Amino acid sequence: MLNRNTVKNSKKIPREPSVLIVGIPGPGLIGTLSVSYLVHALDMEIVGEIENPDTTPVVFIDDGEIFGPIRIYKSGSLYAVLSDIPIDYDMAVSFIQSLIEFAQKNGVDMILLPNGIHAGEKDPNNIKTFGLSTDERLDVVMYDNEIPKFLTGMIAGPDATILTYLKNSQVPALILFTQCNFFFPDPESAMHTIKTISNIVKRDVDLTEFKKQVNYLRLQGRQLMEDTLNIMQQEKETKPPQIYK
Amino acid sequence: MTTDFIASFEKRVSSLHEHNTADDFALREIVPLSYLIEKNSKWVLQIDLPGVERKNIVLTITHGHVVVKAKLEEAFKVSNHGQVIKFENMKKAVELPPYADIKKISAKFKNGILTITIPKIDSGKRIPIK
Repeated sequence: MLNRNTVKNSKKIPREPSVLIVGIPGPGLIGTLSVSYLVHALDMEIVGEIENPDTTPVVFIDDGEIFGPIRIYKSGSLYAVLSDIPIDYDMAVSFIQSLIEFAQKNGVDMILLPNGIHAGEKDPNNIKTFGLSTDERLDVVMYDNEIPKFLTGMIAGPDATILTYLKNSQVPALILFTQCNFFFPDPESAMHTIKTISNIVKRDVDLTEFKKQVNYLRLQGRQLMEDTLNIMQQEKETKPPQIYK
Repeated sequence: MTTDFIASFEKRVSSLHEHNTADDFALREIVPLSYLIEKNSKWVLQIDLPGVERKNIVLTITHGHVVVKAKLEEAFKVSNHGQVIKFENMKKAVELPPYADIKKISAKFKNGILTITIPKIDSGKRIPIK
């Protein structure tokens, strides 16, 4: 049968930009804490997992269901990838490749990667988040949300691999660096990151529950922080050649 | 109070990184995170003590170790294989770094972090320079 329907005067319906937020363990557990809470507060549903062949197989069981350590969540046009294991050198390339492939297949307009940056004596009332974009179109996002540019510094290890792949990908990415305590879980700085992300994606996030659990998160996050630091330490030990020490 | 967010965080983190808390359960005391950084003239040891008040921290130097004991304001509850375990105290012993001048060790507590400054010994036998 022939299709006799015709569409007249169609206007392109503007769609909400699709954003992928990526939470991986790092300094102060900023990525893990902020994205874990966003997934909860925005009632995001699990829609998939990233399986990585380069990591020790590990799963956790919840209510009789098996879950992998790197999961994908969705709510409307917002996606989140949350990893409960640190991304080491062996995993970094395949992880970021899978992430970019997922973003391209699902029409993601922007990847948001919250991370932490060491602040010696940070003032809890004046925590700053800096932004680093891989595409100049995202400078507007930084400007609109009053996020100062990350101007000078060095990023090493798997994070550098991730940034290199993001820089060379077609999907624009904005990396957020929030001042934090590098060595201990830092929920206060994670809270600042959550506020910044909620402004960028224009979703209200109620932080009441998070605020009540700051001490608990610092205690509960010890194990993951320790594993993350062990991986960072390995990187440090393999990094600078002796002559530059 | 255990909320959905906390319950979910605890399940994920505890099940995947449980090996690090073995000491907690064996000793019935939380082993806090600590980090030692070397600077030119000193060592700086930081210990994370969330949920603790300054008056409930006891810091001692004994047998070549810095020992910190602290009491939590509110008990920390952890589910372990279907059993809820309550922790009320934290304890950590950290070996003193080399050349520590134990007479000059100082400490401060801010935002739940204990910072212990351990100066390095800067005196010794003088060697003449020819």
